[in-house]
Amino acid sequence: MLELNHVSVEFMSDNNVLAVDDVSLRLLDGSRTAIIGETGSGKSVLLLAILRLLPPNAVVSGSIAADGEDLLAADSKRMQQIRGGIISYIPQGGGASLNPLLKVGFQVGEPLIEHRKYTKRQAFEASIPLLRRFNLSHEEELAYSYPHTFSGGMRQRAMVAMGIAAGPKIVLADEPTKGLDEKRVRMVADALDLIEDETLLCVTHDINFAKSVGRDICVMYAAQQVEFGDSKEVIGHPLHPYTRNMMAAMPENGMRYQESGFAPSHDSYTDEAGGCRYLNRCREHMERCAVTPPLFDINGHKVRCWKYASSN
Amino acid sequence: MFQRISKKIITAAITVFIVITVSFLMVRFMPGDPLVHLVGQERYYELLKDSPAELDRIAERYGLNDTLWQQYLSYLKSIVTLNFGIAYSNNQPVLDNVLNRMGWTLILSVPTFILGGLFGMVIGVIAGWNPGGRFDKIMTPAMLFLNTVPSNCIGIIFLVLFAFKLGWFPVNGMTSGGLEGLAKAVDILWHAALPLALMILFRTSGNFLLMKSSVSQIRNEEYVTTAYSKGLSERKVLFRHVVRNAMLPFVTSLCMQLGDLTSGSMLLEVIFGWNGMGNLFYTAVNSRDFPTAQLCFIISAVFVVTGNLLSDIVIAAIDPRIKEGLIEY
Amino acid sequence: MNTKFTGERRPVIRMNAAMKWGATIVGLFLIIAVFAPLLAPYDPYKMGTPYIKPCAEHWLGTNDVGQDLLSEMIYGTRVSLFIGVFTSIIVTVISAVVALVSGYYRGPADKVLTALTNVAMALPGIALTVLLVAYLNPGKLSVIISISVTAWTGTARILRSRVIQLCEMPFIKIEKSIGMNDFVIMVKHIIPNLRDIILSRAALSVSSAMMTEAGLSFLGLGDYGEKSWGSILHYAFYQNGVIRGYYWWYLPPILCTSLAVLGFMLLGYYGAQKWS
Repeated sequence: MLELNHVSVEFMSDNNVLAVDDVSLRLLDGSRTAIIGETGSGKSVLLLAILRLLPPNAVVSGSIAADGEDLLAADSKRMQQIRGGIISYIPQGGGASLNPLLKVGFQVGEPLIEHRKYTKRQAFEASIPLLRRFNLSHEEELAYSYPHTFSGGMRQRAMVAMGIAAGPKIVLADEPTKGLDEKRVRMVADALDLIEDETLLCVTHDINFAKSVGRDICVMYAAQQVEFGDSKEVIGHPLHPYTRNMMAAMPENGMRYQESGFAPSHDSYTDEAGGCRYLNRCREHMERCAVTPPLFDINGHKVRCWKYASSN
Repeated sequence: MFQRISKKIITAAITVFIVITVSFLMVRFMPGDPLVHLVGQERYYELLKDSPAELDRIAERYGLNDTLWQQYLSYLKSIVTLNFGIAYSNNQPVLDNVLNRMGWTLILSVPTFILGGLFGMVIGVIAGWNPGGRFDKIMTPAMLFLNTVPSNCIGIIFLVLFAFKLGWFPVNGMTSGGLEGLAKAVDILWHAALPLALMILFRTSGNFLLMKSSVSQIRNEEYVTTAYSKGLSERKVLFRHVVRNAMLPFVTSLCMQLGDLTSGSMLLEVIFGWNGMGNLFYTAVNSRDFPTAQLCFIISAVFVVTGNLLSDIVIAAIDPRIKEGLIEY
Repeated sequence: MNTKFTGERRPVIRMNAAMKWGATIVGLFLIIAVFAPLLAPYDPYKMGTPYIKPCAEHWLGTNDVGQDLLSEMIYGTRVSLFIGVFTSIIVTVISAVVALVSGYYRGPADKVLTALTNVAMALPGIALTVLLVAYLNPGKLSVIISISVTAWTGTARILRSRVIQLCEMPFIKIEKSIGMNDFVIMVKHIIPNLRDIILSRAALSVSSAMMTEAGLSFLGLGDYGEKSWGSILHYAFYQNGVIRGYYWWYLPPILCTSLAVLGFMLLGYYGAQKWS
């Protein structure tokens, strides 16, 4: 089980940036959760914070615990055991996430070298069935090839294989469908479906992907968690005005977004407690919204909006 | 891939050919009577006074009365037969002179290449891995300084300080003469110490800057985060992922430094009186001893061209993307 | 980590501390060069009592023919800076033109220019410069030409790859497809985006050119008539100033050359860091 309690991440520099603001999540074993939000909402930072892969100027507050073990307090040796072995990370597909000078089979099998003491040869051999499992054909050839010979979709699937190679209990997937076309997106969704036993936390900007991959959905906006619940509920009956707008804006729903500028926000989320973050774009704001709303719980469906204050 | 290598070899050969042609043209089109340049100014005026007929015969022999094209061909022929003429200074075959001196230059340049490469690489990695850290804050300005200050300036300062004032090292020359075997070797080393130390310092500084910038850039690549996320320790990330990738531009530069084996040390050789090829080239140019200058130039060019060629080949061998012709660098 | 959450406005030219130092040094030398006649106490060519040690009348003493060293150095600033800056301008222009034509038009022009660049890069720089200087009539122009002949290749290569990168950008492709005049695209869009790297490489070229000129003059191959720092050092060395311990002969040119080179290098190196 992975538990995040009031986790915040702040980057210290000339202007401090609050990338993640008070996110709490409880992921039971075997659960599959998708985090959706636009670019800059803080979702990727959250994943990296769990594994403590952020740069030195990032300050993480709150608590992050896996099966009761405090991850923020673990020493570096313990973190090395955890990364890839207990909690693993599937990077963004960009193309730069694999070392261009090392063969793919080695990189896919590398977690096994680290956590199961495999030799290089054994790692290569183990990578082949892993690649095959994720529907990469000609696996023997591919294992001995270099990343640049892979297409974007193939690379992403290879990285999924890499993520689960050492049998982690929790898998963190960071935007696994970025830049992929619909067919490849479905391939990645299928690939993630093949990971049945592990706990999955997947960050994405693609709502449909989130629906197919996650049983729960967490919506993030401006570094905050604004809604959380069962995915059918959140998508079918969204509560937060932002989520409502997001769902209404989807092509299949008729693109009926409310204007009030649904432009992606480039605001810098500095450390002001200045009321609800969605205030400037919300058509349903009230006077109360000048104060930051807490996360209200409505039968397991959580939402950060004053509209739901009385219904507890 | 062999296609590309052979194309590069051909280009290299053409470059050397161009160099040879350029040096031919420069001599033939020098202001003044080419005969003067061929025979040496002193001898020319001697002969002019005493026996002008001799001059004519020499002109005949050197084909100065032939057409440009004929002269060019016979020049090429002489090069192919390794006949580079007679030096004006001591009337010895140019080839012997130059090869002799080349050895002395190599005594300086080979250790510079090896040690400068090693040191620069090691401290570059250390600094680049922790940019802004204490080591980096001290090393980078120091190395930057070494890299920018002209070599003759520091050379003179070293000469004054360590040779004249402190008397630790000899002021000039390569050996003190009259020694044999091991004693001679040690003596040569003692004489070489100052110029060698300087050259190694300079070379290290350049390599340091390159390696440091390479490592600190690679550090921020996404695949480094990926490596950490698999549970690798910092050391493993450094050696398995970062250094390997950072070596690419470094190795390229290293191969090109092979080109400096014969041409890189001219100023220091002059300052410290080290009679290597650089010094020879300088005196030859000054005294208009063109056969000698030409050969020095051609040899230097061959080294440089070979170095560049080697760096192209090596980087293609190491980087799989280039090997398959996917990236043009 | 590449996530960025803030949007700052970039100032025109951002200078960090190192660059500010570089600018200060360069500025100082520029002032000396421009106001040389006002600053120099004597006419540097006027001969007088030789071998005077530094004293009240001659702050840096005199050389072997009695010329005041301080005045020599002040006027020398002009020569050294002039050669350095002028060479840099020529080198920058040549490499920019080559890079633009080669990177923008690609095709046969690119192949030819790249081949030319490779050949020029393959020639041993110092040796060729020395040879050329000896070959051409002595004078400032020949020094400039000799250095320029091989110095343009490095910048050309770097600029070319940047131009190619820029040409791949959507906004350039759009302009091309609208049928915008090539020259206009280059001037309005490509060159402004190259500004930072051009400036930084230009500063580095000055420093490199000054180093080369110092070396050439030191070897006695520079401009005989004019006094540059390198030639002052040349006479210091060859008139046995080093052996005889006349530190006021060789220290000033060494210090000034090193400082000036360092100044330009700081400007260029840290500027390049910003870009990469």
